[in-house]
Amino acid sequence: MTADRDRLESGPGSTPADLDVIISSGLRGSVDGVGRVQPGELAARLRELDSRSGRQGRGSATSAPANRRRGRYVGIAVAASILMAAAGIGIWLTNDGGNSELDVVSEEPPPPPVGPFDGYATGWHEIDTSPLPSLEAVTMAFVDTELVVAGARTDGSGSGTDLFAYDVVERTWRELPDPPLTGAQIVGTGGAVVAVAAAQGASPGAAVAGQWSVLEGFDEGTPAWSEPSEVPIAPGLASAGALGPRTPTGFLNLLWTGNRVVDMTHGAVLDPSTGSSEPLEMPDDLVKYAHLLSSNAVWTGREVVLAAYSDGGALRWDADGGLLGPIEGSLPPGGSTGTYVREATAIADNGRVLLFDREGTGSAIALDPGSGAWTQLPDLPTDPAATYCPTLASSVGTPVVEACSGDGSMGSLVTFVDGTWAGTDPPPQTSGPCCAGQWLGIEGALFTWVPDTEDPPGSAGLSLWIPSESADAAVRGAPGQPVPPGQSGMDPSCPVELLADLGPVLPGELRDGPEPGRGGMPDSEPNSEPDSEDMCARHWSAGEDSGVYVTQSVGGLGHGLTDASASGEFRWGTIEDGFGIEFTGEPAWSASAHGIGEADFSRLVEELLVETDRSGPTQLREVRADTTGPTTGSAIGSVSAASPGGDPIISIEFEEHPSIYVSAQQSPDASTIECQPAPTGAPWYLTVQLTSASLASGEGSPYSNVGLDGAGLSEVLGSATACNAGGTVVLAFGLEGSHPITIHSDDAAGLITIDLSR
Amino acid sequence: MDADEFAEKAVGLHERVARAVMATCGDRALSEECAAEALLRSWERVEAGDELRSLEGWTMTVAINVCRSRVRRMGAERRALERFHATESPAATAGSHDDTGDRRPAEHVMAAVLSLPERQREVVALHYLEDMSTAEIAEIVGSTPNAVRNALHHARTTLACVLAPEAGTTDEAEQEVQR
Repeated sequence: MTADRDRLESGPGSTPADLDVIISSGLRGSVDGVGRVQPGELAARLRELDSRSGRQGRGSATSAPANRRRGRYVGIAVAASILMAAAGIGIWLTNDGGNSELDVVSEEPPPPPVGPFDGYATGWHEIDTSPLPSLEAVTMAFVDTELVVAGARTDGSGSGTDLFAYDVVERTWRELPDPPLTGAQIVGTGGAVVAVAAAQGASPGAAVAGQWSVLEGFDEGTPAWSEPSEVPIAPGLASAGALGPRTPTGFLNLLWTGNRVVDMTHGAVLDPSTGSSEPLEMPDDLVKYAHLLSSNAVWTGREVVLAAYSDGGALRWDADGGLLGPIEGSLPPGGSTGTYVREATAIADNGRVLLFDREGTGSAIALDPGSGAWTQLPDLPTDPAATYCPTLASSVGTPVVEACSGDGSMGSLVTFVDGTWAGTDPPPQTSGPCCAGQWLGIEGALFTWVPDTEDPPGSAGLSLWIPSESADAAVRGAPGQPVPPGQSGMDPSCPVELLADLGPVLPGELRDGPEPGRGGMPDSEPNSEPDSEDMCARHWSAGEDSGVYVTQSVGGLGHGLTDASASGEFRWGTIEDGFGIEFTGEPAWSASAHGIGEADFSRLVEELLVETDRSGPTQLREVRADTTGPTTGSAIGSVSAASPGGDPIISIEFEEHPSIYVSAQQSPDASTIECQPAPTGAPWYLTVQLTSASLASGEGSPYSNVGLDGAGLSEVLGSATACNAGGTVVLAFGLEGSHPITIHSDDAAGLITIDLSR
Repeated sequence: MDADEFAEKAVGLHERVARAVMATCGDRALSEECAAEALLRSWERVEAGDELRSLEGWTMTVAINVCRSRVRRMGAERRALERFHATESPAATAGSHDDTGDRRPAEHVMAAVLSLPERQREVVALHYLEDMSTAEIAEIVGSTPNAVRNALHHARTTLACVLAPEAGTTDEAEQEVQR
């Protein structure tokens, strides 16, 4: 290994050379003899380690016994090889070898894989859900031969989370004990089920901490839950006031790695075998990776990878949740170098990470975590009007993705074989609302759950899809068969019943861009043209779905929103003194952006929003998603924007949390800030006043709140300073060019990102 | 890499990895266990046909990650025990962190290194024991070369203060230590 030492130019104490000698010799002396073992000793150590390690308990969903044997084989084989190498024997001891000392002979060869789906023909199979109560917020796991379904009863009865298991061999349901958690989501760990309930808020003082519990004795007839434990939150996330990524359907991003449950949302590593947990290691410069909130993490079989449509880099962790570091990739096809990153649905497939653009382009790309190389895949056959799709994707040995239709309904699916996407038969149930279904893919099978939307409650749709050689062959034989919009019940028009209660929405013509100087629509004119593009947004505004779904709908900045009762309406046109758009919602929050004229407003919107290459009107939906920023938790209030000719460029007032006031002014005005003069040379000057008791707790310690605000202000802006102005902590920093600014309120559990491009 | 190559490297690699880990955690048994665990995982990768760019680097990375995980877990256990025994007299644990007693120089250096923050310990261990470049260290600890340089700079600055008497200097660093 080459030496490329970085000597200190100078330093206190001894000379650098002396110091190096002292450290080097001291360290070498201290570790002398450590790790020095004879081959036989090392072999024995490896065997012992392997035999008592958690490997024995690490099984896949379908072949835990095989994995136990496999675990021992690994240790024995490497131990034997070391012994043989030491003896100069140039052969490799295989599982069939004959070294009795190593007890290899007694190791049975792995049995053929168990096939719980052997009794199923290829294609779709409807599973009877009539024994189940009506459930919502359903998550699924597959353990041994059983599909475990967890959800909350829609009638509000029960303990908050009910569990049922369907044995795919016996084809029978059984009820499992309720977890001691409310609103729990589950993940299978091979032989057990882990339930996790989300934290409310990411700050150390969060009102409700996340909790988790393990269903033990799952397959012994006496299943019982362990005492719930608190889910730690990674300090990096807590200091940023945000939770980590969620799944595309808005649930906690829980990954079973074979060793641990990695909870990416909380930033925690859970060990079901010991009940212990620890925070997930995060990079020191976490804010640098905020773009990764636009996607979800996956377990590739070797590592946990979190990637996005951005050249900002991906992150990866090992099976124990140890940070392996960043994947410094190049710009992925269709990716962004800016602050706006496409939302994506990620799945793991044969060691690669596949990302599917959720913004209607159909773009699909693949990342090889080993090399950091991106590959452009053929576009999915996607209706351009289908926004926030696909949310459902999985791998069953080959990737399977929901077909995105304009109406957002859960339609058929497409799979990727021999370099092309092609449609498959539709599932038995296709009429679920946009983005509300769930998929669980395992090797050789896919479960799909379509929630019950009937009133009075009926039965949910649960289906099992078995891919097959013939099915794959049919796909191969007919490459490029896209699933056309409208097929299989995918009517691109919006179902009237879903639009009925949505109230006024953006007029369709606005999508094509307002003409400068042209007046806006009346404030409350109802939408006359169903606008499938904004389907998910309307679900959000109508509050017809759970908050989790809302989180998913509003985009990457919406992570953490759990208020299921949010509802409201849009209006646009003349607002106050200018032209703008306003969203009002319940409970008690509103957002608006307005300017002094339509043309200015349109330009301003484009400037304010993080994405500038998607011009005006299509952005309007995101006015409230982005410029209103705090689409999270209760840190919501109002946003106003004015022409650069006016005094404030952006003003954000948190009505429910009047602790933060943000304003941007031209530099001369900013010089009136009492504590800190404006940084010279900065064309714009932003001040943030933090006045709540919690944020002002750093009184007398002027810089503490900079760190509290996510370690990002100083890093992103470079010149953040803070001082105490009569009980008000003021952060002041200059803006040069386009800067992403990340701000959070202490109890908001969310991020606000505003691009002040000038 | 085939199995024979791996086996031939295993013994020497175990020692190198264990030494580096020892300098980050200060516990011989733990460091050797981490090294063995890392070897097992490396073998799993090799056996699976993965082309590891650097067996040494990959094994070192895994070992350090395993060590971090174990140390943090032990820290949590220790803190839990401390809370449990919170009513005990502070004198019961006094002296356990005494860094000022007579030590051989090597022990003094090790104690100083172990007093550094986790990332700095790792960087120092890999730099001084493995003679690695900042780029190589960055890859192993999951950081950037610049961050490694920073960590190394801070570590050496700290160590210069603590170890100044060893170098026979009498500058302000030594005075700082005496204060």
